[in-house]
Amino acid sequence: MKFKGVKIAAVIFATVFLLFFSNDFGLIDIEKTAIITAVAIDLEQDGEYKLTAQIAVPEATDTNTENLRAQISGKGATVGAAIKNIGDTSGWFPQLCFCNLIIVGNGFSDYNLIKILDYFSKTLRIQDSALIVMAETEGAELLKLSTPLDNISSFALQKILLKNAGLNRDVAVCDVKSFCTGYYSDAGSSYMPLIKVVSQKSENEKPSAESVGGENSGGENASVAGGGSGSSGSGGESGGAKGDAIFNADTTALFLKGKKVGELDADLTLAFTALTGDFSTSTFEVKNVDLGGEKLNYLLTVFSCKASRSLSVSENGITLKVSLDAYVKISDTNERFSDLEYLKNLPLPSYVKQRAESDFTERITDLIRTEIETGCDFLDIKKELYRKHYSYYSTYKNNFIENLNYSVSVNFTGQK
Amino acid sequence: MNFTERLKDNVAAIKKRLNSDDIQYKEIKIGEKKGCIVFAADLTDKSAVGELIIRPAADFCGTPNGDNIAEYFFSPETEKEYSVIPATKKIAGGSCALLCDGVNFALLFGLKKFDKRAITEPPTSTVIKGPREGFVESLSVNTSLMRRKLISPALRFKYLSAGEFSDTKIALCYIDGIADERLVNSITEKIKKAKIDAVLDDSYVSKFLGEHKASLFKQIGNTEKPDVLAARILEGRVAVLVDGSPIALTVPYLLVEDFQSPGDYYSSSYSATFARILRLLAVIISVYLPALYVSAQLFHLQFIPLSFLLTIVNSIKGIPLSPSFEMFFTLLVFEILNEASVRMPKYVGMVVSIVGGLVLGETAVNAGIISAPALMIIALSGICLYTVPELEQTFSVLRLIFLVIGGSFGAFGIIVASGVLLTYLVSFENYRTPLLAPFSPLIVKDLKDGWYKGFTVERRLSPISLKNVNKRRIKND
Amino acid sequence: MIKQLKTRQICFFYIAILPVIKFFMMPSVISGISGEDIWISVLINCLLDFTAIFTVYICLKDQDGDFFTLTEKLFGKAFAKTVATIYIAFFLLKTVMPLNEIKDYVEMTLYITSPNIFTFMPVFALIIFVCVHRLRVIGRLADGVLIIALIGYAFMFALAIPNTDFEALLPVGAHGANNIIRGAYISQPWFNDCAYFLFFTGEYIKGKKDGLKIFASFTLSALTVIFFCILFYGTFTSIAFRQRFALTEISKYTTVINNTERFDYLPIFALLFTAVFSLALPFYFATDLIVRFFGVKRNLAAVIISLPPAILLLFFEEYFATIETFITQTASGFFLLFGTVFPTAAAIVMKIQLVKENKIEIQRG
Repeated sequence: MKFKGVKIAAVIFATVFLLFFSNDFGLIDIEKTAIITAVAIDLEQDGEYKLTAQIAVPEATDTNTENLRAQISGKGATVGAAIKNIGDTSGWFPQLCFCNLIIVGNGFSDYNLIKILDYFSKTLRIQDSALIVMAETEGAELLKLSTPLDNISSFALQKILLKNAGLNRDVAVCDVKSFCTGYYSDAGSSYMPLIKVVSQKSENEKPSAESVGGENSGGENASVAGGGSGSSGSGGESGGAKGDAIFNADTTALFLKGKKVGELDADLTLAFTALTGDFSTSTFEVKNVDLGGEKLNYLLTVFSCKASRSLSVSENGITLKVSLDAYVKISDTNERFSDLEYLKNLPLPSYVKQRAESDFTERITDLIRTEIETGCDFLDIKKELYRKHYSYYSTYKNNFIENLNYSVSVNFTGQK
Repeated sequence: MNFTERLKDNVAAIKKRLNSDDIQYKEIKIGEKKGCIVFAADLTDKSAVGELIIRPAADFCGTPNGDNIAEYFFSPETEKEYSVIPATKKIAGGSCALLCDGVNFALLFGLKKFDKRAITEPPTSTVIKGPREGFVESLSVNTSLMRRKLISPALRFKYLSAGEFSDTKIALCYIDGIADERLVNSITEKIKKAKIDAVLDDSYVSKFLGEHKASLFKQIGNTEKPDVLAARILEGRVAVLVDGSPIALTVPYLLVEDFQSPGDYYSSSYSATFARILRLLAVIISVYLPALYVSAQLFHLQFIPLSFLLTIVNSIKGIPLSPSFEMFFTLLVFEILNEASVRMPKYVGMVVSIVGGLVLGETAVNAGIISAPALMIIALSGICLYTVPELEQTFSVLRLIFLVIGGSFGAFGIIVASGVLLTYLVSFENYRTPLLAPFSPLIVKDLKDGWYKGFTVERRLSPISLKNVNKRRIKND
Repeated sequence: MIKQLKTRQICFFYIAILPVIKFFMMPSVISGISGEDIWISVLINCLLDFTAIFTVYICLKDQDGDFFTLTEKLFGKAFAKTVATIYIAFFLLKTVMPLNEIKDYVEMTLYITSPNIFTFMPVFALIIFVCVHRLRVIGRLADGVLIIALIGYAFMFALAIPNTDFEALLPVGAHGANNIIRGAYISQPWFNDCAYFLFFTGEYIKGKKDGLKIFASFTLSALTVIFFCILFYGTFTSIAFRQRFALTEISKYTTVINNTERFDYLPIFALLFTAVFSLALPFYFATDLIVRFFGVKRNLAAVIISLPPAILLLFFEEYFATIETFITQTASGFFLLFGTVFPTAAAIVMKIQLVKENKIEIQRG
């Protein structure tokens, strides 16, 4: 580099230096940023959206490492407008890049969900890998709940969803991308977990959101709740006692063209995840097996599983063959086994095998029936038809459900 | 101006140029004629003057003349000097001059003697395993160390001098048959052409050996250890030893050589490779971490994991400085402490570390002037840089540049700046040797001593990156 | 004549630098038309490029000097100047889409607190800095960038593969030849990589199996792009055309990211680092032509070449949709003509001419 070059470099560096010290560029100060961890969207009476954002408020002290949470709501005719409203009324700049959970309130049951979820799929400022769930109540209620699982309720909910996705497979997890992919596919079908709140105190005594946080300062309405022994914001919980609500996500809501058309209960959700995902490491119960008049229960763990859905198409119709082959072990039971049987790693008795197979066959059959009844192609039959039987696609694309025949085969094998 | 046959005139001519109290003029008798010895009192070995000049002069029989005087006086280093100016220079440099009436030259005896520092382990490149001797300030000691390392007739020293006032002796050291003769000539030319008043240290020489005068990057390698220098000249480099400096310069220079510690060659290939990769990672962390941290805080919150982001927000609450200014301020304090710890007398060094580490650091965090993550990042960055001490200054400046760019333009600015840096480095050549070799241009055979340090027996060839003449390091069986 | 490049550097250039620029908007643009046949459209373009590079290599491999030097030698200065002018326009047009898409990408996905045009403008400093160097530096950059690009590819692919539904590419050809060809046609601005090879031919040190090495590296480069497009479509299927910035999108759905947050930005940064060099290439070669055929100093030429795209970026941002339509539809033919057809035809004509001249020289003795 010549000295002339050095002079030019010095001038450039001086300019950059000036920028560095004066840097504002309309930057949003990190402290004025609302780190949104979850949003809940509810439909208001007037047709507008109420968007409640759960914000992580860093308030850790030396003695308490937990952070506070705050809920701020905004209203708007579109999701974007509701988010903007939060910023306008709270003074915080809503930052959605950490938002990993979107809760849709029960008010949207008859509503085309893509109208609200499209915002999250379009904008680059939010992860479209954010999970979506539908609440059995208002979406905001879920965020306001206090749970023993985590100080921040959305984190608790995510724990359930992700843990289940990783291990138990009894939740049909869905993210923005999956929902939109399903919606924009030819079948227009999608699904998401339906969240139910369960109180640990007693089944009848449901936790109330109002008991957790007040509603005051902030946007449309705002509440702050604290955890641990740390100080809490106004309207927050005192004493650091955590609530008793836990979440249940084993029911699945089904959507056709964005509208809710049905539900899969816990048994069917498990069968669905067994067929569509990796069923290994999952556990399931086989109840009330009659053995000489005694009713016995078993918990089976799946060690390996091969599930397949094959479609054969002809002029006469479509035949769906579903088969599930799994290697299972008894994890727990109230049957007394002999020491020798324990030494042999608990073989799968034929009565348990038969019962488990018939249970699962029934579940899968019900699953297919649900698809036929609701028209929601969550089993991706139309997709399969398009991809592997394209020559018949035009024939059956509008009536594949009417022409659907099916057979189910389930086979569980145990330790030999 | 030349000497004449008149002693009085010759002494006067020298006195005119060497009019200094430490120069002694002693009249003696050489046979039937008068003579005079001239020497620097503190630089010349007086006992040798007595033994080799004064006593033989007293015993001289007959009339000394230009023919017999040079043969009579016996010393390993004698030369005739007919010219006054070079003779005065040599007297000032420690030689003893003998002038004799009727003789038109000065007989110069190389009797330089002064106190030298003992050979010790260099403080900047200590090793756990391997030789611990280091160069000293005396050129003759340094050349002797090299001769001891490489007892080969092919080892060459080429003496030059530079500096109008210092007339510093410089020795080029290379191995004939391995080093490229053109490289030796090129360096010789550069040293001869150097216009400088004095060469007080090797760094003066390195400035005019470098081909890019304003470059931030080192262009000349250096070492304080004879074993390292021997290894480098065996690869075809040319070393430059400067009288008065304990550091030997080596040309050409590859950036990777500063990531190679002498200890790497005395330990196993695995640990040396691991250490080199660690050094590289440490330098990358050191240069980029402060910049990335500031840019993430200012522009890209999504890069920071949520839990860490909450910690950061917690820790920066109430801090009056912006993230970029905070990091700059912390870095500035670190550099000041660094500078102070180097310059301060050793007995107060401990105070600096206590004041710097505890008082400034912890209290600044507690007082809410800077945040704990910023302090941690600067501390980590500072420590990382010392894994490659030779490049500490270069990377310190780069760290500052990247910090300013990161704070002004964000991560994309850092990417662009890295692109400019890479382009600059790949285009950078010194003595026809690319700085980034053997990585760019990629020289696969040289990768055996790059980040990966191959087994010694594996390295049968000298680096191709260097323009050496003989590539074969080890002969095949 | 001193050769500026080594065959290896040309290979690395194809593997490391060229594919990345196709990882931004291109997959989404093609998938909007070709759907699951996206890979066929990309394959068609790669085959066209391959044919052009193959022809140029075979015809001119024994010659000294690059395509433009030979053009001047065989057809005269005036013709060569005209060709150079066309290629300056070609390269300038080739900068428009990548510049805009990377700018949008940077502003929309990386800068969440302050999207500002000035955050992108430093890229021109790099472009000008690259442009002022000799061709040798491009070769060395390829050497330097290779490892970074490979790490980027490896991480990116490893993160994307588990979430890719490869069956989404079925049925093959369902979108029809028309759409597949249209998909290939509108993506011309991102291809036509033979144009770069015109500067390399005759400028590299000849060695054993040069052709094989160059074709193998180009094939690898093409496979990387095709595989990326497959991963992209397999990840997004029916909403692929809505995903403007494939590079950031495909890696984020893996469970690892859910658990550890977005460490996939590391490979993204590695690829973005490579992409900025890719971005500088058309500028570099346009500058080179200005220097060689119009006698402008290299520093000045670099500034002249960088100005129009910079102005377009700064002052005509609101016309980007129009510009995109123009470049991908109207100008695609121009890209195809001068990126593939012309080099192929010209190389054949040059070869014939060279053979003729050779025969005449032999006859003359």
